[in-house]
Amino acid sequence: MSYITRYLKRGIISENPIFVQAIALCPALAVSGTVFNGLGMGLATAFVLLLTNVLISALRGFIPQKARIPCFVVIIAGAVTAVNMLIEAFIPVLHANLGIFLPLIAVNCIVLARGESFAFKNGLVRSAFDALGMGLGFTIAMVMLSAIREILGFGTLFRDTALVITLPEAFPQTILFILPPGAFITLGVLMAALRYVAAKRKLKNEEVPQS
Amino acid sequence: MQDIIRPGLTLFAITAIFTLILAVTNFLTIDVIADAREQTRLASMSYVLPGTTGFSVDVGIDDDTSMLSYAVGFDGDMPIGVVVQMSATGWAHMTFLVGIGLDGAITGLDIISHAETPGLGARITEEVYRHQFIGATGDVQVLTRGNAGENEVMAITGATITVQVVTDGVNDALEFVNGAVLPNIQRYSPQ
Repeated sequence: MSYITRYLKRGIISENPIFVQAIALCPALAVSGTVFNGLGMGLATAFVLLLTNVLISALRGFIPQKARIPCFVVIIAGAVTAVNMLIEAFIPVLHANLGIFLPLIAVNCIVLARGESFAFKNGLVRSAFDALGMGLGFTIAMVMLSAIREILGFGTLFRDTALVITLPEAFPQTILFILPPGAFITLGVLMAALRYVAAKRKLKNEEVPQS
Repeated sequence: MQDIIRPGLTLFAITAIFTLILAVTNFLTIDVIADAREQTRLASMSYVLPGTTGFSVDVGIDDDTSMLSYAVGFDGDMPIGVVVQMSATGWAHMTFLVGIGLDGAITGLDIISHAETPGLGARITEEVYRHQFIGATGDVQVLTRGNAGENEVMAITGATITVQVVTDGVNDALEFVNGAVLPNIQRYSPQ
């Protein structure tokens, strides 16, 4: 069962969808203004990814190689729409909070990318854990990105929730960070910082066996 | 040919199956969703016109503005104002309610449904922005800088269009209610 930790680690660190693969940037940049939105988008995406990875993996014997991409699109859009209707009807509280994110996920390329590069070639259980790893990696990246933007842009943390922390008035609120350019700048700096840390660690690991 | 027919048929089959799944899901959920939306709308109508105990029947508005319908609100038998239901397009379709008192001033604004971007346009649902409209009497202007005074509202950074369409709707509702409904308000009765 060692592949479970390997897949989780791969999704969260070594192949993080946002920081390393740089995919799904459109929703990541648009919905990372506050931690509440970032976490909501992250969890909703993780859930949809789990569902579609399992579906694509289950149907992989049936889907022809040549028409696989349109098949994935139908499966993803169908599943997202059905889940959206079910949540609105039977869990209205959840829909009031996450409903706006669900339709956005149908066009999130992370979902199509995992279907194409993993679920189509692997079994059900492996596909499920791959989805969990990638979904968690996406969620963690969204929370990091949105926490920085919310602190610098609004001067708060966890706004729209009961846990809201408001920084002192004197703390400057920079509107730029709430706007789309702020998302690009934050993501760029965060990516550079994480790569710097990763490169340093790699260097260290390579030096150890030599000495 | 084999290369075209088999993938084509499989794609057709998958599409057909998912259409069936969606049709069944829609059949199971459509009434529940409609009921929930109607409940939200009724609660929202009392919210934008505080103190109402009942409403007249909804009267449809068929003109080229974004107004859909209106209803007169009553406290017992006394008319106390009008609620107009609006439909507008910001980033996507949105519906909202505007409450107007007998004095012709806004008593409340509530967004019932929308698909604006979270953190930008969706902030129109925040109380701070909605409450700016309360007390306005006509020709509301959107300000992008300075402090909003009477009949003025502050724009939301990055969502000027959303604020503008809501403001346009509020102005249409004020003009319509003050011109056509309030002078004849005695004609309406609670249902």
